[in-house]
Amino acid sequence: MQALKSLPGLGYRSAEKVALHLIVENPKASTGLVDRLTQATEALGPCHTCGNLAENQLCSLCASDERDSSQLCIVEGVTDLFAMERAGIFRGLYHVLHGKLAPVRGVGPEKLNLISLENRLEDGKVKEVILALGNDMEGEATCHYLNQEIFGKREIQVTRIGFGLPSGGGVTYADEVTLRSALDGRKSM
Amino acid sequence: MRLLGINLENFRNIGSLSLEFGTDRIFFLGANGQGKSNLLEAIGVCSTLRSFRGASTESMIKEGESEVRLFVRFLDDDGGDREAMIRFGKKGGKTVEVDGEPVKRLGDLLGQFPSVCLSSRDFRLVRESPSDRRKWMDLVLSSTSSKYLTALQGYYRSMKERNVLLKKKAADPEIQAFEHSLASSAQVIQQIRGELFPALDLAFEQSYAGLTNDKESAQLSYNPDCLADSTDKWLSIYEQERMRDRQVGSTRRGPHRDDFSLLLDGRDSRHYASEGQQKGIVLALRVAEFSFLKYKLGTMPLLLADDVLGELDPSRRSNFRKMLPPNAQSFATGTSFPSDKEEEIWESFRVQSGGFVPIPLSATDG
Repeated sequence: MQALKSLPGLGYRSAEKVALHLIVENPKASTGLVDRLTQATEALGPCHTCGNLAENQLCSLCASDERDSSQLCIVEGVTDLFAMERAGIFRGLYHVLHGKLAPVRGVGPEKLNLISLENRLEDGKVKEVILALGNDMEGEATCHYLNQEIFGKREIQVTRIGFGLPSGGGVTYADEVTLRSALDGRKSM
Repeated sequence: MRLLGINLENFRNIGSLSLEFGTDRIFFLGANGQGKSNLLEAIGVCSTLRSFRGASTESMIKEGESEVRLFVRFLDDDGGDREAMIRFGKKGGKTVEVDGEPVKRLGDLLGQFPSVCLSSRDFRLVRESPSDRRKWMDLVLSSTSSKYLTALQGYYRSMKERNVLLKKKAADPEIQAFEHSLASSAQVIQQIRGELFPALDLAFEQSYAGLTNDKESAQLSYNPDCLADSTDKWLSIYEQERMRDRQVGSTRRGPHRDDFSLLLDGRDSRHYASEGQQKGIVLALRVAEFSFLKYKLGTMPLLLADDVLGELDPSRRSNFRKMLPPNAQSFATGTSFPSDKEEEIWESFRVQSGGFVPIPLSATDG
């Protein structure tokens, strides 16, 4: 149970529920789960280029020749990449940082997936970089850092995704911080 | 606004309490250590989520208990019913609901149920370190400007990160990354302090003059640690200071070092005012806070007077009364009524070992 509780997203009660289910209520499911987890951990690893989950050295996105290799979208985690892919709005390639700068928690640039980022910028194919990091303070700082240290030295267009109202949502229910960024990010018509 | 009723569970020495208030003047009478101030503290917590005694959340939980519950009902100035529910426990984490809706951020509670508290600890504002004055200024400004609160929280978070980097001698670019958010927050903080301070000062000057029958004059003067009028200028300040900051391992300059002085006839009252004058200055500061909150929020704050009314001399006390709007609801505590004549004007409760019993008016007649 302790082992389950240490997983992200599981608290004491859910861990208890899962443990009971796997051991008492449905022991068969637990062997199946163990098998699948073993297979997955053996088969999957980080993509050597972008940090996404991959079965081989390269993930399916990096290996595909249908993606636009001149656009690179920088995301914090693999789940962010999944979200972008589900939306199906971006045809370029990704780079997963596996975190953001957070000195208080001991995360410095050396812990981010930056060496392979620099390597892939070497050949000059990437023309535009889109920073799709959150707009909290750490996300902000990470963007500044990347811009200064990595992109600034190269001839690359750097943009950052906009922040504002969720689509389908009206102005009434948005909180003040969201409204402020929506106003800051307004576009002329 | 008016507080109609309060329910408390496990707050300091108060196990369980439910009180209704029908008037604008409420007095809690009792010996020391019975729980009078605890109740005022609880009312204050409902407006700012903080103890005016500067106590930690945990220390407000009754011994042996695990969770505090506070429930308050207000009547707002437009005649509407409002309510707030606050819970906090030993394990940390506070739950706040306003009018039945969960509130996630402090900014959504601050300023909803404003209160101003006078207590004997107030002299710290004149005599003690700048950090006491800053805390006061930050709370008043945060209650009236959510932009200020957001900037302030962002500022301290960025500074914490920057300080960690300074201590571990990180490379410049990494530190710079956090100076951007530090600078933009600093810009907002100083801009709002610069805008709002004159209004606070005006209220303060007027209230001190009123308190002393125009015999003395006092001013607030804002003393910024450094001045900059744009984010870029702040960036260059942090850049310039970085070398020295590295040696100390912390951010030495910025709005977190701002202060203000309380001047009496142009001189710093910390050194030049008598004890009686200092008391008057602190009182004027609270009255200023009251009028500022009222003006900015459009809501009449509650007045909480913890054991201080009796300490004022009669002329200051009556001047003080005159300066506050007559319909401001006040909650006062004391071991006795401020003066003999006052028994009848208060709705009173006798406080003993965390219990509150209404004192019927007829009983105090004789």
